[in-house]
Amino acid sequence: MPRHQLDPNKWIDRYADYLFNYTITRVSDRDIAEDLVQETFFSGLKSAVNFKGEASERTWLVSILKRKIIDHYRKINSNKGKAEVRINYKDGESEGDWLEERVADPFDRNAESTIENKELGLAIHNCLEKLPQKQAEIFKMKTIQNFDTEAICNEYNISASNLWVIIHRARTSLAGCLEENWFK
Amino acid sequence: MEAKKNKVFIDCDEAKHICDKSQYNESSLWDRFRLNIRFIYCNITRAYVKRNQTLSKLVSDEKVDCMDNKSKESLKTKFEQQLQNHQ
Repeated sequence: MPRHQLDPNKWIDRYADYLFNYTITRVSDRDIAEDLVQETFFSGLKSAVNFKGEASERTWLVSILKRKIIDHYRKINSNKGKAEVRINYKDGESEGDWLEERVADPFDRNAESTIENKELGLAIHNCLEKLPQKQAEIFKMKTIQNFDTEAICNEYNISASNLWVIIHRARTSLAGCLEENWFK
Repeated sequence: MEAKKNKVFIDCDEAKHICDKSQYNESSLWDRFRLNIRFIYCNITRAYVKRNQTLSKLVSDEKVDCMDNKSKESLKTKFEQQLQNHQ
């Protein structure tokens, strides 16, 4: 008996945001990220028969997504290769070595902090998945997508004070979860 | 309710509520003043404010992103069609 089973009907609600966040930090383009997430779900559906149930649904989808991201970069790099034959450049004002200027600067801390931010983003999504669905959705709309209070109240047909109670509960649970999983 | 709103000294629950609103810049100047008063003498409020501010800092736009609702709805529709064809 497999330990995990697939439930494609709930994939979008459960994993779309997590996979999107995973992708956007790697491709930095919303449209491409959305396309890759969509392709991942479609591929997942096609290869659902191959799912052995050893990994969780999300881990399995992430492994498909990783391949999609690699394919995406292979595709754009093969196009780039044709265009970037010239390594040295010289124009009216400047001259230099294209490759040399792209060698990583050992004192540049950006790469490290970027990786940390990616991991943090995923940790936050992990914690959001543990919240009740409505609470998580409202929190995301308010905090990440910056919707107005009124717009959210209309969408969910709730009062403003009800919204603030939901936000308070979500923030408290999220802070607790992050303290447990991120700061430890 | 009006009398409660005019009070300088607020209870812990109200302080938390104002603090939550402040994270989204939706608290009034008067509310923030009252929160600051409580902040001076209440350990629980201080801890809550600190925790809440840390959370806001972590969940800043640069670090966390999610699909916008329209795209998600359109993805849902396409995926449901695929799902029907698949079954």
